Amino acid sequence: MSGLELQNISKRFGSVTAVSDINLNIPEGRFISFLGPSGCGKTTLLRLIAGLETSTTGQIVLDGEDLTDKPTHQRNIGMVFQSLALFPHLSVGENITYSQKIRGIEKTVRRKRADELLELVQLPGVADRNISQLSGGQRQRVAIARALALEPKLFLLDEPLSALDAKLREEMQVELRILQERLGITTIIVTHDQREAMTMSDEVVVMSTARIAQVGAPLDIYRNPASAFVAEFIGTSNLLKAQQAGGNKITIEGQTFETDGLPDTLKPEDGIIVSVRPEDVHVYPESNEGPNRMSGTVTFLRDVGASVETFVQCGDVQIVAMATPKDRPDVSKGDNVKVELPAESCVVLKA
Amino acid sequence: MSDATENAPIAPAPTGDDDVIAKPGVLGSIKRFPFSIYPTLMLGLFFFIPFAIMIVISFAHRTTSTYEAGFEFTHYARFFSPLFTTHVWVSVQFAALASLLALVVAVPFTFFISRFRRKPQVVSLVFVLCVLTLSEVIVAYSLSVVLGRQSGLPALVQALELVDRAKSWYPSYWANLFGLSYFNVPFAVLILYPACTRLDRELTEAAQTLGASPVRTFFTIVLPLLEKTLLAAFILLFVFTMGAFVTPIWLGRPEDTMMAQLIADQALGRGNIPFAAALAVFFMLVTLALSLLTVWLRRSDKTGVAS
Repeated sequence: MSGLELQNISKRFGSVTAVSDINLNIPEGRFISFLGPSGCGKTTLLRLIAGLETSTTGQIVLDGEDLTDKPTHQRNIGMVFQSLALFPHLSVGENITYSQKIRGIEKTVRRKRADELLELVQLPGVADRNISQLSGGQRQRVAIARALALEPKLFLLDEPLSALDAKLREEMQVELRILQERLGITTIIVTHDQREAMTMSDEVVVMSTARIAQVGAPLDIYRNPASAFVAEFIGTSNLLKAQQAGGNKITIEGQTFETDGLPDTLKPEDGIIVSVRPEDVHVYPESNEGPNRMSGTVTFLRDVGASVETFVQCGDVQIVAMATPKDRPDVSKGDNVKVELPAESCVVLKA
Repeated sequence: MSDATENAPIAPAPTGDDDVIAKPGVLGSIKRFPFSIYPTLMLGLFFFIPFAIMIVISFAHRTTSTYEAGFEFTHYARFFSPLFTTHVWVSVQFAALASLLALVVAVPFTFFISRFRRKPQVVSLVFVLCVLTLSEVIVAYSLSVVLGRQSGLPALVQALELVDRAKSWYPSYWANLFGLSYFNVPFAVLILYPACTRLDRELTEAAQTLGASPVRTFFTIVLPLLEKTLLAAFILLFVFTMGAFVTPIWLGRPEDTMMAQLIADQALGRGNIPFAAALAVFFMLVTLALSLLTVWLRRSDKTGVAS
């Protein structure tokens, strides 16, 4: 099979298990994110793929070739580090062509390649500059160019954008994705920013405490989180304690709601949690009647211009609804309202 | 909580900051006064005054038994006699080679120690510090045992029948150089260690992802980044070795006589105090210049790796 295969990968540091029994297939040419909170093992997993750590168990196979015991410098990977790790004693051009120099490629060819790569990352004409003369965003581009110099089979990025300010970061996310699509290179990025993961990836690997919590396309994960952890971590979610009420029905705060179905694995005695995305919740005046509704009181309105969030207290639970200014509900703080949780947006999870 | 607590961060903090800022004025300098007088006194008593006395004596006139006040350049002029230039040159050679050899051993050693986990790192450093506690006398004497014909390596070589009849390996040029280098290694490790630990691990990892083997990484990334530190370490070791006394006496031949021996010989052996003083002044000035050079090197370091 072409692509990257991780088979039963575990990594222990002393008594701490950083990565536990990971199985993952990454087809060639895909853009994958390892997403999770700090300490979940995502960086360790990336370093295992790069060969910067040796796995305690398991195998790493790239295009049918077993990489597990190969040292880093023989793996033909390109990696962008969190600190960028640009060599301060080398010029921009020398940084970018370091890998070519190691392979003994002659100077004129290297020079041409450096110019080509700088063109690719939209930073032409800086090959002779010092690293210290570049801005944060420019260094970022140089680090990317350097990692791609030898046309590696795998492109690995360890939280590469974390040092940039928010606006530049969002620009670079789009640019990185376009670059990756152009080159068709298998890419793995480690991030704790779900927005970043969703912007760039074909597939997101959500990790929690050394294990994979869910793998899937960004929107699939967003729409159908496999657990409360994923629902919480990817975007924001109303997580409501509920009870099973037979068939597709559930009860929240004593009210019965229709859903599109409960997970097949759920046993009748299991407790459940319902995840509803704020943008799927509708707020109506109190007089509104219909199914899947419950009454509550508006406790707070957060209007930030681009969106409006309505906080509604329904008995013991708080529900947040989000709307665009165009669909702004005609309510104000203290009003009694009806909240609709549409059946198709209620995702039932095991508690 | 009460309103007062909530408002607290907005109101100016009721602190003694203003007093603290005011202090360094009159009160501060009075308070600091004894602290500045102490180092001045110490430097004066134990460095400037002795140094001044030495300078004065270096210009004094030598009589048959002792010396008397005077102002002459006779002793400085004697430096240029072949006897002394030869020994200065011998000292410079030994100091340079011994420093270089110590660095060749210490740089990879220190770098790899700094990549260890915390515990083995500490253990290794403790061993290095142990060697540091040995005096030059003990090191030179131990090496004379190791290099001696009766008990040391020559006896082993003979026992293995590699040679018919082994000779003692000291006193010799190589024994002296080995002794001086051996003594320098722990100092080199201590000088290099802070810079090595500050070397960003991701830099060497990046080199490896770019196809450089660990050895290649060491030569293309680690050494260039440590350049300034290495130069500073070399100068410090050089200055340090120039003052070697016991090692060349014990392990070296008469022609391997170094500066410190020369000075001692003039002062104690021949009673020529003014000439010994002139030699010492010259020696001090060279050392001072080299030490200042290392300070400048460390300050002008751009990578921030040098300590």
